Parts: sequence; structure tokens; C-alpha cells
Amino acid sequence: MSSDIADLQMRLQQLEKEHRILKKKWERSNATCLQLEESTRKKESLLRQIIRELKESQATLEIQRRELEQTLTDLKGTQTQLIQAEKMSSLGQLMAGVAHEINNPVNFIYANLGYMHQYAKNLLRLVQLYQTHYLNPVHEIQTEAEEIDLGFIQTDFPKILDSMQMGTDRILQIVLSLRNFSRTDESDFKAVDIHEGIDSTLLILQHRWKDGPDRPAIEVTRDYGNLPLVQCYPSQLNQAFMNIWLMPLIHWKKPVPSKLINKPRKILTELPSRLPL
Amino acid sequence: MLKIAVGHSNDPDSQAAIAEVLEQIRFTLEDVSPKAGVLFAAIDFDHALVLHQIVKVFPEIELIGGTTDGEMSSVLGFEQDSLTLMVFCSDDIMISAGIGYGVSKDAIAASQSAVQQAGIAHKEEIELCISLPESLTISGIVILDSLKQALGKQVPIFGGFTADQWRSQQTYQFFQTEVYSDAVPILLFSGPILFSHGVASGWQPIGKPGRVTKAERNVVYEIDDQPALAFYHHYLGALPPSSEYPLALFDAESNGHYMRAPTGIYDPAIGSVTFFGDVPPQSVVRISEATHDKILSASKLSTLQALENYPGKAPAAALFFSCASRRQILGSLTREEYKQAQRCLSEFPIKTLPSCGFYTNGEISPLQQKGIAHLHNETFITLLLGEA
Repeated sequence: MSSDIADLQMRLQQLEKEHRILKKKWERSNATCLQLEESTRKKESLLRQIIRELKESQATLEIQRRELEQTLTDLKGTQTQLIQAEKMSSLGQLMAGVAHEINNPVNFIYANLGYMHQYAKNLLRLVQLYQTHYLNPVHEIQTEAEEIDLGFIQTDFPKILDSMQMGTDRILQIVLSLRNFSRTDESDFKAVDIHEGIDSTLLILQHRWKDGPDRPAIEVTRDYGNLPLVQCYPSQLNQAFMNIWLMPLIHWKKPVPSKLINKPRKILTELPSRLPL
Repeated sequence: MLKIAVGHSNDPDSQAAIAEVLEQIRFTLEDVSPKAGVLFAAIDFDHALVLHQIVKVFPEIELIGGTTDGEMSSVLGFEQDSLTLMVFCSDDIMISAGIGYGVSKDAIAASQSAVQQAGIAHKEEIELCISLPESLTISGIVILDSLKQALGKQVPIFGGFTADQWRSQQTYQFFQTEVYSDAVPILLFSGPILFSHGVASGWQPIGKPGRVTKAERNVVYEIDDQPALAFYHHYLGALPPSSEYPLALFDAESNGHYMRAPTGIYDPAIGSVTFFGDVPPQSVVRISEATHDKILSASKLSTLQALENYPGKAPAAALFFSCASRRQILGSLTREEYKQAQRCLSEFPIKTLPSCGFYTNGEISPLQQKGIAHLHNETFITLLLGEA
């Protein structure tokens, strides 16, 4: 009997222990449930935010990709321009060399043209005097005068000389412009009249203004302000003007006939009022 | 030879639970009296009663312990609201306990006091320190640095910061029959003790990087010139910061990162968030998260690391210190974390290696074997013990 009671007491104690553990576990599971719910809410929120950030990252990456593509295209364009500029720079140096070589012989001609003009006038006046005072020259002179058409020479010779004077003037002007453009014979950094540089460059490109088989004529309008002398590298600045105008001139083509109204096109070169010199 | 016994009870009644634990230990040890012990107890027990019962049965025991967020042992596996005690018996290994209190007022003095108290009994050099410090009143880094200063950097420190089941209110530390708060209890080992350890996490940075622009020790006030709380709210909605979502701190020199978990304490008025360890100003931080798979893989890795590095033939026991956040995320899978570790250990010639551990508010271990101790968050630390 007593062993039964002891056995029952032991079973009771065991049941009480199990009851305590179960009660505690039930409390714990309630608390865990709440914690888990909060955990899930946090996880959901984190996930939403990370997805949003991923989308933002994707959008940023797409923008960067496009920017990179644009940069690549720009770089290729710049590369082409640089090659062109290099070609033009070499051409400029060549022109400067040619101008320098031509300058001396042209000056030689130009310097003597005045004397030549004076001598011709003197000689023609002397011939005139002979004709006035010797009305009947000897037969040989008369024959020679008829053969060389003295009358025509007397009229045409001054005209030829005037024409030569004009041609030489123009050669000198071109040589001066070429030298002014390249300025290889001057110091690098100096005060210059920018308008002079623009004029020289425009003169070198003069052949481009004219009407061609595949391009229309261009009318140059100079609208200069009042600029003081500017400290700069004149040769490089003139090269810059040349590059600015050359690219549009290369692409200056006659418009393809179409039903659209052909509006006058312009190459507009505006310089900012404050150049970062 | 180091003999280790473990007792574990999930009876919520303090008297019944400790009686059961002591019965299990006495059964294992027979008549041998333990030299020292470590107690891991859930927050709701009558801790003073439990401690008195232990000391009453083993009057010569050097005892330390602390409150937990979950317990595990080779007796019951993983449990919550339970009580587990590991005791050490050895003729040659010297083990002694000490405590320092008032760590939030003077961590250096508290640590020195604990080391001095425990160190008196040792004639040989200290080989190992196990500590279970307070986690909520002060930065864990301050306590750990103070301990390192008191012990000398060459002494490897292991352990976990005491927890209070996610309540972020008060944790307790035990020394002999006394229950403390804001204290640092330690166990020091000298003599022919052998040990190795493993440490692994499983957390990965996931959010955008931010720079800590205002912080003082373990309290972060601003990230990217905005309240630190806003950084968390950005990811967690209106929910408060918690240690499952630590910050990964990026180290510019090593290019690696380490974790700092929020304690759950924060100030909604000024937007500050308190962490278990220091967060240096100007640190680059990212919110981090972990999945079940990664957490469990890391636990396995930790145990395998410890086994690989064990210097002797076979360990006598294992201690585990696992972060409370791991338990929070694993939920019912937490059992797997312990089982997995135990499975790795059962490959040793010993049938069931005695083991014991708890879920912490921060873990302590060196990175290298016998190296300088570091404060970890979100890790699983395996410490294998044996005698040469």
C-alpha cells in the first residue's frame, strides 16, 4: 500500500514537472510567436527596401551605360577632329614655309615694279618725242615700228604694268596673310589684334566662299566689336579659328532638292565677351 | 586528467531544476568533487537559490555564471527557460574564479579586481580566461580592453556577454552564491590545459553604405549626418533596430568587415542607437542580414575549425557561445545549430562529448589560435577543452 502511495506521489511529481514545463513552453511559444511576427515584418520591410535599392541601382547603371556610350561616341568624334586638326596644323606649317619662300622673290619683283613703271613711262615719252620731232624716220625704223605694232605697245604697255602691279599686290597680301596666320616668325605669347588673325584666316579660306559644283557660295559678314590687344598665342588662336570654320565648310553642301523650303543656312562664330585667356 | 560533467534541466521551478542538474552531475562524477563550474541560467529563475544549492552540494567549487537568451548542452540539446551547469575536475589544472563589479563606472578597476581575486591561487602562468560580462550598461569593447589590460594581452579570453531574453532591461552575472548586475566574472586556468577554438558568423552586408558622422563609444548618433535611427528605419520601416540586423563595419586597412549589433536600446528623441561594441566615427557601415543556411554553415565551420586546431588527442569537453540574434533568426531551427556542432564532435573517439553553452549578447574569442581576444557579434564560437 505504502509503495503504491510512493509510486503515485512520484507519478504526481512527474506530472507536476511536465505541467510546469508545458506551461512555460506555452508562455514561451506565445512570446516567440510575437517575436517571429515582428521578425517577419522587419524582414519584409528590409526586402522591400533592398528591392527598391536594387531597382535604383539598375536605373543608375543604365544611365551610366548610356553616358558611357555617349562618351565613347564623343571620343571617336574628338579623335577624328584631332586627326583633322593635326593635318591642318601640318598644312599650316607647310603654308607658312611656302609663304616665307615666296615672300623674298615677290618683294624683289614688287620693289622693282615702280622703277620699271618709271623707266617704261620715260621710254614711251622719249619715243613720243622722237615721233613728234622726226616725222619721217628712215625706212628701217618705219618698217620695224609697223612690225612690232608700236602704236599698240604704247597703249598696252602701261596697262600691262598696272595689271602686274595689281597681281603683285595680291600675292603680297596673300603672303602677308599666310605669315600672319602662322606667325612662326614671332614669339609665342604676345599682345595681338584678334581681328587681324580672323581676317588672315578668312583670306586663306577665301577660295571656299565661292560657289562650287557641289556647294553654294558663302557671304562673309564681319561684325567686330571694339577689342583691345589681347595677350595670347596668336598662331594657335588662328589655328583654332581655322578649325572652327573648316569642319562646317567641309560639310557645306548644296541642299538635296526637296519639297521643303530651303532656308538660308549660317555658320555663326560667336566669341564670348570674356575669353579665358 | 580533466573530467567534465554537465547537468541540464528545463524545469521552470528553480528548486526542482537545480536539484535535477546536481543529480545528473553527481551521477557522472560519482564521488569526485568539482574544482570549478560555469552556470548558464534563463532570466526567470531564482538565481540566488540556484547558486546556494550548488555551493551547498559542492562547497569547494569556484563558480561563475550568467543569464542567457537560450541554453544548450549535451544533456538536453537546445532549450530555452532552462538551467545548465558544467563542472571541471582535475588534479593538475588550476582553476579559480573572480569578479569585479561596477564595470560601467570603472571597467579597469573592476577587471583588475576580478583578475587579482582569481589570480592569487595560480603559481603558473595563466593559460586561459573564460568570462561572462555584463552587456547592457557599457560597451563590450571597454570591458574586454580592461580585461586584456589586467590579464596581459597574451592571455586568450573566451566567453559571452550575459543576456536577458531580448528584453534589453537587465542581465545578471554570478559569482559563488552572489547574483550581480553590471559585473565581470572570470574563470582563470593554469597548468596543463589544452584548448582550441573556432569562430564564424554567416552574416553578409546587404544595404547601401553609410558613413558614421557622429558616435561616442558604442552609441551612434548620426549616419550620413542623419539620425542613426533613421538609417535603420529606412530598412526596417517603423520597427526598432535589433541585433538580427547588425551593421557591418568596413576596415579600410584590411578591406574586410566585422559586425556590430544593436543592443535594442535606442533614443527616439535624438535618434541614437546603442550597440554592443564601439563604433568608431567615420566608419563606413552597411546593414547586414543572414539566412538560415548561412548561419548553420557558419556554426559547422566554427566547430570544424576548433577540431582541426585542437592540439591534443581528443578534447574532454566543448563550450559554445552563440549570438542571441542567431537564435532569433533560426527560430525552431536553433536545435539544428547545436545538433550540427555535436555531430561534428561525435566523430571524435568519445561517444558523446560533454558540451554546454548559451546564447549571448556578444561573443569573445581571439581570431587566431591563442591570439588576442576580440569582441564579436552574430558569431558561433566553439571552445574545446582538454588536458595534456
